[in-house]
Amino acid sequence: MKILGKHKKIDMDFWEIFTAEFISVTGGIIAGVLLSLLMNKLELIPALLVLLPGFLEMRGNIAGSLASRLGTDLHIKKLYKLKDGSILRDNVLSSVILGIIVTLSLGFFAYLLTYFLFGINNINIIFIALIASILAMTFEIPLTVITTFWLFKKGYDPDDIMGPYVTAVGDVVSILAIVITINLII
Amino acid sequence: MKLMSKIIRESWKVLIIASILSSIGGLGLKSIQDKLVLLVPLIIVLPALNGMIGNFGIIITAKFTTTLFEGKIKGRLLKTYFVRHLFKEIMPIALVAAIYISLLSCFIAYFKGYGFEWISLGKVLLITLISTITLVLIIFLIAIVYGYHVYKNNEDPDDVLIPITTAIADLGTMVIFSLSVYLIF
Repeated sequence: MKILGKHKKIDMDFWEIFTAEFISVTGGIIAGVLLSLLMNKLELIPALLVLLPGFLEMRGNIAGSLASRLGTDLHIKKLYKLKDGSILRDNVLSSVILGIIVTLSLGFFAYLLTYFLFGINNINIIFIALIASILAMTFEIPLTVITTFWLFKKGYDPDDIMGPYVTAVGDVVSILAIVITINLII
Repeated sequence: MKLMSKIIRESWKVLIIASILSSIGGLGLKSIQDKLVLLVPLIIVLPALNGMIGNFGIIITAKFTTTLFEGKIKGRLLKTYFVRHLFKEIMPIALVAAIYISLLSCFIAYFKGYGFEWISLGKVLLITLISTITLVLIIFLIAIVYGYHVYKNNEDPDDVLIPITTAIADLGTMVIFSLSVYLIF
């Protein structure tokens, strides 16, 4: 789609990506401010810096893939509305199952890495990862599904917007979930 | 149920590998932990930088996959109108966003009471721009070339490629970021 100006034409995709990206990086900055609050817990949970990038990555990947699959299905008219049962259900359930499998693997990996590299035996990191992941998924997955359908219905391309959107929301929600979980456990 | 098991089967390995790769990048952060605690703008900029690079991985993959499924990609892959056009859209946005997060992180750090120095702003800006340009180029190439390969193998690039590009984004960001912090600060 093009917006035709007097001397130039600007691609609508550009503005969709540009706007979504700026909202997203601002969300990332908010996540950074939340992260700076966690820095004083690093001594208590040494595996946190090892867990954190993978955890944020996983949350963004699962929600990003979900949004991208729904976006493709909406574009090729395989999926029309939120009530379309089986495709939507399978997409959501697979995201939840994948979230739990990957979180457990990641928590275990962070535990092993800090144990073997730094000699720190802190099994709590696996529970922190699991509880934080379940907390984060409770918000992220419904939000991803609803927003993808809403954007498509409003005439926007979810492929342009959902990537930045889910990573921004994912970062803020995930770090918040970790902060809440740490305060619950420690 | 068939779709669910297909999604899980296609995704689980690559998701675990991607997350573990990112956590290996976390070791880079751990190695500069002492500097990070003192350099608040860097802590603030990190999730935004990380997310931004990952976003481009998702956007490039999602748009390329949709275009592939619509049957609009024909001819030499990297020379198609779609690919060249997408690159011209992504790179300027990446550069402006990199400058924006550098300025914003220093601004927020200042208001949190950590003081302000032009030299620190310059260094944060330099680290962010180096990371952004390098990683956007790498991710763009991987998403397009490997995405086409995945599609030709009758797999959905949405499932396979998004975790891969975001993992490269994460690992790459952590490595380049940690290395730059180590060298520059």
